[in-house]
Amino acid sequence: MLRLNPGWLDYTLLALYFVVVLGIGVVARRAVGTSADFLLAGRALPAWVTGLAFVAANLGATEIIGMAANGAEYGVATVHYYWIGAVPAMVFLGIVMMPFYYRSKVRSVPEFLRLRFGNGTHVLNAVVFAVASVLIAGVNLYALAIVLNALLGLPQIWGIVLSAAVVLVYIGFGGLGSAIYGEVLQFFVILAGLIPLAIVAVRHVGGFHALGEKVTQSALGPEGLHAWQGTGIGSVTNPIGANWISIVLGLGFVLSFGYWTTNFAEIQRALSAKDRSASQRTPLIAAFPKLFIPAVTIIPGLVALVAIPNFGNESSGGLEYNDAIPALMGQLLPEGVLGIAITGLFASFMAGVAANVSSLNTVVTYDLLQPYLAKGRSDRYYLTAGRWVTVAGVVIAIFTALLASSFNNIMTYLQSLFGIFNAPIFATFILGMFWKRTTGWGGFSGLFTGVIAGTLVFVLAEAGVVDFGSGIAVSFYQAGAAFLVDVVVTVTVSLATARPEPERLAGIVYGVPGADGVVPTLRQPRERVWYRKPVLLGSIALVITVVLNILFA
Amino acid sequence: MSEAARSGPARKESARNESAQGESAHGGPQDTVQTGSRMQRLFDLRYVIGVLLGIYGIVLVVRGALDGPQQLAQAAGTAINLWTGIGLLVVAVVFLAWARLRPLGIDTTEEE
Repeated sequence: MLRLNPGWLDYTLLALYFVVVLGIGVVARRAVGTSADFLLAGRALPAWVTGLAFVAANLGATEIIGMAANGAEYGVATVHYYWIGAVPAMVFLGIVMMPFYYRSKVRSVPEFLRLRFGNGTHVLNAVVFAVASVLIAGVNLYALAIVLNALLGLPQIWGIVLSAAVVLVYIGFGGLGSAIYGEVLQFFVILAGLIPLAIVAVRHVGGFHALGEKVTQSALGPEGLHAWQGTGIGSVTNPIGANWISIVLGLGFVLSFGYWTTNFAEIQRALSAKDRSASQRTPLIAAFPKLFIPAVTIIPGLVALVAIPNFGNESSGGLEYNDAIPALMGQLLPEGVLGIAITGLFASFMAGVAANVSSLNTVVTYDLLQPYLAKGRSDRYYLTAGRWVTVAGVVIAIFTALLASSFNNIMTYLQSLFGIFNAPIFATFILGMFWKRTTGWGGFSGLFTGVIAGTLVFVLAEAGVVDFGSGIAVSFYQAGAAFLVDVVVTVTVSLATARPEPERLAGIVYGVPGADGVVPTLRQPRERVWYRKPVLLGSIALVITVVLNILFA
Repeated sequence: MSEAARSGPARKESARNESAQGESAHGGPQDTVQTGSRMQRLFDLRYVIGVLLGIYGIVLVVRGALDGPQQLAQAAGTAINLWTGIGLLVVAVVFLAWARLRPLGIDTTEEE
């Protein structure tokens, strides 16, 4: 059984982090006077804060435990989740889509759909998002419970409840502001734990060269060291189990663009930036850490695979893939830095929960309560409502965590959710932003049938009716199906229904001037300094991506 | 880290911008929701980062200085407490210096 043995110093370092985070929550409470303070953090944060929060909001269970598990199971090809499955979409968001979001002055992603397509699409998206957020928050809670279980021997149920309570306190008090500040802090603490772990892990197996040789002799084989070798169509031998077309289109295009460009938990960080240029730079600044995070997740996964006997063979009593990072921490890190690493894990899981809950309360309050369920109340009412939604969201997430504990690999589970919920939404947004002819009914029916199509593929694969080879391939195909169905249905229904009235498009669709006479285009903000130019930042990120892909092909 | 690189040229830029104020190159509706950031006025996050990482750094350096052969052997022969502590102190100093040299007021008026 996996068990860490932290000393008093490790617990002290962890306790200090809790004090600081709860302190931020308590102090931030003084900054909350209106529902906008609580739910939007005032739209005045600098780009480096929103950018780091943007990457940290995604640095929860998905990254740390899940990606190390993928590293051990699929090898170096796990980099596709970063270099193909994240960075290009983040650059696209920053340069192409963020100007539309920011200019429309929406408070949430579903609200953009309300402006563009009307109430049906809006309610559908808001409800789907709310459900997805609590599910994902639950997955993060579950991952945290695994760590707590390993750390203290605390039963998983208590780990789930305890960590939920901490999150509840700090975002219940300070709202989005303390969630974002907590995320930036977490970004540094998690790296302070993971970088030393990766360094010691590589030295433990005798350096990079020795690691490579051992991976070659492991279950992964020589292709476990390559991102693209063995992904040929019809002859997939790479451990990732998907060919390059489904990687590029399924993961790189549909899944990743769906997640990064429309997921409100992410966009909310960029929307809280202080001006349009800063909001555009938010995902671009986030792209740079994102490029290098695989080094500190995949390397520990590979080391765990080759250095821990029987790793990944649960059936014969070995540790499971998700244990890679906690197991190495316990084995390799001495008291002191072990405390930092444990703190980093805690921090990342709590921020993962906090990101989802802090976007959930905004969507429920501004997209469901204010326009439909409780119209025209005082701001005080919506502030109180936002706080209670936070409480309810955390409680539901606890139950989701119990649900997630029946799935073997957290990441595959999450990818299934993203595939179902996010892939069709991206199609709807792109058509809505750039094609004037898209109608309200077109947007609604496309989104609806897209979600159904994704769900159908997932259910058929789960039931064993169709076989795509691996769980990862299933999520690529279901995302692809959802996307295609959405595009076809949206276009068909739009052409069959009456043109949308011009007022509905004003200022939010490409080339249609707004009430203020400004025509939305892709013209980039003019910045004097190079590191504030969105196109330049995006290009640098893409060039590094290409170089890294060639190096690890 | 990259923060150092960013704050360096940024300081020069703030001086240049002050002379060129008024000719804001950005047209269009960029006014934000009128709530202001009370959060930001309340405290500067850079100090929080600097102080927390600084304390962590000091603790690890002291712990690293006391580490014996047992700790070294566990971490594959690396003085990992010491090195992590030094790294944390460097990042902490960068953030504290950045917050000191470019206080919040300047930072917010300067960009737009």
